[in-house]
Amino acid sequence: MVDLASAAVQGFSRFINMVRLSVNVGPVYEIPLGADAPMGAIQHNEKFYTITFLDGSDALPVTPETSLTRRLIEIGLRDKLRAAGCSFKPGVDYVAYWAKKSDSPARLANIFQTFAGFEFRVVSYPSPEVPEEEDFYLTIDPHVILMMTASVENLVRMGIPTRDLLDLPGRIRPGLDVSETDEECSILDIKDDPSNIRCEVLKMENGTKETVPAAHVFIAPRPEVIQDKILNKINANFRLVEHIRQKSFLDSSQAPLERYESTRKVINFLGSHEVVPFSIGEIGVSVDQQFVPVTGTSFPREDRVAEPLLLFDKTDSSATHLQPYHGLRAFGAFTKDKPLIKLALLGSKAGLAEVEKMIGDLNKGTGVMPGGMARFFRTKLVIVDRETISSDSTDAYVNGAQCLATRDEKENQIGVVVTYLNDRTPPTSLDSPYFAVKPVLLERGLPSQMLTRFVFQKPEWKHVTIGSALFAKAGGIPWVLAEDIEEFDMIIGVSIGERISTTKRSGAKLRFVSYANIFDRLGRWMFFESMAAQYDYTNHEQQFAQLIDQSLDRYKEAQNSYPATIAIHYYKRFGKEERRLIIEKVTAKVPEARIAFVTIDTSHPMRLYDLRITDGSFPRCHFVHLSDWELLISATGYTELSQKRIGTPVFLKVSFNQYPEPFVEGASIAKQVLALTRLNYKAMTPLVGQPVTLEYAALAARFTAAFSENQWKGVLSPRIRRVPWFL
Amino acid sequence: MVSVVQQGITPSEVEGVRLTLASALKQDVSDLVIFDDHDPLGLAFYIQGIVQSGYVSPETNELAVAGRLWVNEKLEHPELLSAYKDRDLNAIALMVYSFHKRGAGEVGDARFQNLVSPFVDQRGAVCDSLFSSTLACLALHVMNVDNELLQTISRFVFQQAHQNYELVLNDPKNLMVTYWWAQESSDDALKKKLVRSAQEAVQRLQPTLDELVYGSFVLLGEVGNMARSERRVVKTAVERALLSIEEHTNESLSPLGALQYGRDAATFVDEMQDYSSGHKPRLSRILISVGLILQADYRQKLPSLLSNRARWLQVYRAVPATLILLAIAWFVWWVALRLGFPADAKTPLKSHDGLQIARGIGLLAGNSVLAILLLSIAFWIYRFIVDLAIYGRCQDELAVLKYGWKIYVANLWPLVTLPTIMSLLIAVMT
Repeated sequence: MVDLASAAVQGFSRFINMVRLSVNVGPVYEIPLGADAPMGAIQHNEKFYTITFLDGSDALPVTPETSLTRRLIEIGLRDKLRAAGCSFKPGVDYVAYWAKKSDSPARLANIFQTFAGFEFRVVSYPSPEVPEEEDFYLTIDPHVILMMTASVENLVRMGIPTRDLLDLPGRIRPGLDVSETDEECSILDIKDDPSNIRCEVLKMENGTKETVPAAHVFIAPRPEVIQDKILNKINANFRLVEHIRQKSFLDSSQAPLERYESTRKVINFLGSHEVVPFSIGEIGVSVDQQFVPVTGTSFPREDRVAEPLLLFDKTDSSATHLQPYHGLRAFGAFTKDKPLIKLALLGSKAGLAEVEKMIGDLNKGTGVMPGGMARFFRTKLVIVDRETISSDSTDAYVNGAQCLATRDEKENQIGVVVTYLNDRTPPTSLDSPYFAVKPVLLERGLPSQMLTRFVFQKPEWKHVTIGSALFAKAGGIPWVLAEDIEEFDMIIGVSIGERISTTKRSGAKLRFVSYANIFDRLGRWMFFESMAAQYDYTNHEQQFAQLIDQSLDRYKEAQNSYPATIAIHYYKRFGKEERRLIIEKVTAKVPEARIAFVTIDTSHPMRLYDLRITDGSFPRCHFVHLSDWELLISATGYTELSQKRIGTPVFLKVSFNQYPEPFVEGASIAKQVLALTRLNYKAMTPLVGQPVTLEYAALAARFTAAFSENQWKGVLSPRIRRVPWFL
Repeated sequence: MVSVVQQGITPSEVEGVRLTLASALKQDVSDLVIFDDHDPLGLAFYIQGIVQSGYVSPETNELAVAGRLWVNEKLEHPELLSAYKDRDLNAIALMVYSFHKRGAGEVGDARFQNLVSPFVDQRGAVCDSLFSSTLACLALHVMNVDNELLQTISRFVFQQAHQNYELVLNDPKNLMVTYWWAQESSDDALKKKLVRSAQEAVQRLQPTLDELVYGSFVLLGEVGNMARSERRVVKTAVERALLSIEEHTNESLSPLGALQYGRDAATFVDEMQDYSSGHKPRLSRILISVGLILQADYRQKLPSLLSNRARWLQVYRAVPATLILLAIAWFVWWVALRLGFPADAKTPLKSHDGLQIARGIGLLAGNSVLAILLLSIAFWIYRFIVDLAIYGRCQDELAVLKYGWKIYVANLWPLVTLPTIMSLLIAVMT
């Protein structure tokens, strides 16, 4: 039970997890250009600064710019936290934790450890009173830190099969000292000679293969992987995933309130352990212990948009509903010209029997899905081919997939291949039937749907989701938005920088891949566009612009005209050069084009709380304006449409930049982003955390490492480009 | 009184459906500012509904004009089609069809053909859709443009309708547009297929609203070609469809304050959610339009919807009612004769004697009353013969009385004044 009695009385009920910093900005000392930077000097925007005046130096006192001030405050805070007994997550110096008390079992400390900690960021926004000045805030959010203590050599000596560690991402860390210079890699092979265990790795930085001592290689600390590949194998009798969920408040029905309280404790810790106030050089910093309230007047200013209606009929604008399930049940799918979907089945004999039964149920209907596919999607599933495999090995699946695809080459009648898998596949098990079969089929123009045996255990609610995925992969559109996404003809969800072919099976040769999912005004997924080029990080801006350029051409193919207004969704901040090149490419085709560059960040630590709601969650469809160009949107908070919530709501931090001048307001961008959360054809729930522009990019990203170059080309074939194969 | 047809709806209920639909239509259309922003296909259906049902109102007069301007704009400048090309093409095709059916189209106009050709694929499908292809066929057909494009698209529609019939059944709206096409192309085999499907659809244990409405539409269109024994199903289905459309429309209208009252609830999603009414259905323009056509058609075809037995029962029951009324007329006449009416009022009125003149006025009033009574009886005889025996609009005597009473009250003034004037004229002129 959360004790809120001790909380200070405040006149507001909605808060952001920020506390205001009172900053007395003093001068820093800028080293003149050409002079040698002394030890401890801070490099910022190609200049060097010291925080105190060094005797004999010709440094000049200057008022630090805002970004430097933020950085200096973080440096000062970090020093004080270290003095107060905190450590920092390796490579992530804005995540602090109390290293002295691990909360994972000591008996497993030789494999991994978990610690309670928190993420902190200093942010600044123009002052509401004096817009020329900046107000500084400290954002605090509780965090669970998971660290690997066992190297690959340790794991092999513990008896973990080497094949289980193949194709996993990892870091090369000479010795136990963790540093930012750790190199990212993918483990291609392990030579388990007991006297000298070594790993063949693919280095991500330069795409080269190298053999290094296994004692220097550590797998990336992912709970599912540690559980599946290590703890389960050594019968550790510990459920790490549940442990992390519990520590992250995911198990609690009052998760937001507990998180709020935990954040308050961290703020108290800063005060009680004399972390604040502090000074760095001549800059003094103190912390207001109260959370910043969300009000309707000044930043962070609250706002809301209506829950978007979904449309289920191309020709009848009244076929709308707020929920996909009920809409499908009442009106059927948006596309009503797909009376038949031809399926091919792949799997073991017993598995195929299960799949056939499920397809029978889907056609016939179930308690949750009365009327079955005929009613929900106005279609019927027909099995046209089967391929039975004799073993669960990846090779057997790949051979089976190749046989199916070869048989279909002449008749070309298979719509979707349904593959039965005996087990779940963790996202990192790249050498598995799941990741191996999909590219083989896609290469030959066949989308596939994987079903594991777990689907058949309690399939009731899964029927509609599976039906929706099958329908979408066969080229149907289950539903769209009932109202236009105002002001935009084309919305592009872009992802760039993913690598293809990091696995041994697919050739382990790094390529730079960028891809985009394109949506129209009604949020209709239109097509998948992609580029694969030589791995050259310095050239990625060009590739990004080229991808947008290609997408415009594809749009024109579909719509007979170029889009006049474009929104580009990206999970990273757009660089100036990226923006310039994109504008150049777009305006070359559409001189009057208007472009909104929208960054949607889910990895930030900002949270909103509404203490009027029973569990403290900030309601869905409500958002706050952090500034004129930044929003914080609640996507999975309290809503009347769904009582079931897991953990603290997902908040999307959206920042936008518009060309040639601002042409839409923040509320329109918020409406657009929220509307796009409703179009995930893999989810019937109204609580989807990310817009499909990012969600689909993330789904496609799961596969990129398992594709060879040729297989990736299959994804670009005209047939596959038009179906969301990654669902 | 026991109705000859059980579970039917009364004429006033049928009229109620029309009033509800017309009211929603007028309210919706009165908000229309820019055609493009208001679901052109829905508005095209409104125009089709108005044209086919013959509905006229000041609010909707502008709609057809606006629609025509919009269609001409797109035909002249195809680049002005919105991003929803398939929706716009459907709307244009439907409006072109409606205008031509109304006799207001331009025969031989090749602009539509130029507009639609870029969207026709190798199979002959328009926008990869049977619905769009069928509407395009209808528009090209009525424009009487003898061209290959019509043949290509109609070949596709023919193939889908005969070889891939599941596609027609997939969306009940296809039943309606394919039926229109079957009528235009005189494809009797297709009509029979559609009728069979419509019969199956409306007789399902729990048909969807779409199945009921569009199935009824096809059945009502073909009712003249059905045996009397099959028509009861049609009547029931049409009545259910009409009531369901009325109910759906009523539910769709917002009950919020005066400003939004009577408007499409879905245009105030935010407010409706605040009032916990977020789940209200949206006003369906297609349903309203089809409802108006159905209602008008139903009134016209009601007698043909009844079974042989019910129809003869109506005729049978009209006979005694008429005989009773004739008997009453005879009784009134007999009593009047006994009382000396009709009497000569002219002589006393001309007598220059005050008492005689007063008597003459009394006789004149008596003559008028007698004439009014006999005319009223004649009115009711006419109603029973026409409404029950000939057209069969009413299902029983009570329904005739209720329906007739409204007409009687509405026409009371001429019923009283006409006999009075006649009596006066006779008294003065003879």
